[in-house]
Amino acid sequence: MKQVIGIFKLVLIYFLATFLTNWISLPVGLIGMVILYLGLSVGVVSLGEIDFISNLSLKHMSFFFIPLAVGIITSLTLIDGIIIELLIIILITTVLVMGVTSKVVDLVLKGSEK
Amino acid sequence: MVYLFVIIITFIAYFISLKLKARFSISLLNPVLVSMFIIIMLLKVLRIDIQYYQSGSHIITDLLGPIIIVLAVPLYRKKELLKKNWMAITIGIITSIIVSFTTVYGFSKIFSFEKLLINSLLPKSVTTPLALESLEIIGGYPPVTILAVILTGITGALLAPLVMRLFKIESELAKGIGIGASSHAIGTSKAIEMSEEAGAASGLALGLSGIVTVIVLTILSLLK
Repeated sequence: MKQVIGIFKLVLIYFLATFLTNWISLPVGLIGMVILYLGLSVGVVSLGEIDFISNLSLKHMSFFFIPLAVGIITSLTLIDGIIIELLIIILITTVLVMGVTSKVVDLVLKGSEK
Repeated sequence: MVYLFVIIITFIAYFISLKLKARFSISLLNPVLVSMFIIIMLLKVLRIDIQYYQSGSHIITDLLGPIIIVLAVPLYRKKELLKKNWMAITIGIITSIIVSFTTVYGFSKIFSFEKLLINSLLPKSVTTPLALESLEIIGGYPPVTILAVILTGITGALLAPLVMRLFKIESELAKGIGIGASSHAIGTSKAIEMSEEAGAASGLALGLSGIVTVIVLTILSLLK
């Protein structure tokens, strides 16, 4: 029963976030994230209520991206002629952004420990 | 009917991909990528047009909005850690945006891409709705941006463990910030798998870097 109330609260947050997009030009997911965080902070939502649904969705988040990946195949014609170049750019820049960012954070953390 | 078909075929593909991953623990067996191949193969074998699958696939992708909301949970659980290290996180987010813009711009110039194409690639590290928001400000080709965003996410999720070894990253917090800032929600799905701390940091980074990217691009376009 507790979990059902939790799911109900999440649905409510989703609708509230969707409603707020009329004024705030941010994605629904991000607005919802902020509302849920605030809800947890002030105690309107408890971790116990939503742990089942949140663990399940976090564990299987990849599932929801699958159709987007399938969609790539049909839109490949868009980048006809520059596919190789584009893939090279994406590969190199993603590795660099991820690696350099993590390294900088890692070094700052180590520096502040001393 | 098409919705039922999409759900069933996607579920089957995802189930097989999880089984494969459990059996051979190779990070190249990313569930999104493997499922994509399985679905395309299944459609070929069943002689069903890929457009048919696409026409009903929003039944699954429409749920992404609500799913992203629960990323607040790891964030909340790790709030002390994140608050304590806000300085390192801020520096990380700024770094990610500088590196992203300069490398994307630099490599695009090497391949002599035209301006609007470069614009379309600039916001590729942030989550799709925010990337499209950025594009409205600077101008570009939305479908190319969507493609680049998704390819970046898959690349990030696929290579995250390798990149962390290559750059010798020790802290889970640092891993999460790098993953979220470079490869948004798809990368974050991998960070969650790595550890709760990395997942929380990645969720935070995907939000922060997305918002800061839109702000920076707005300022840059006003300066011109």
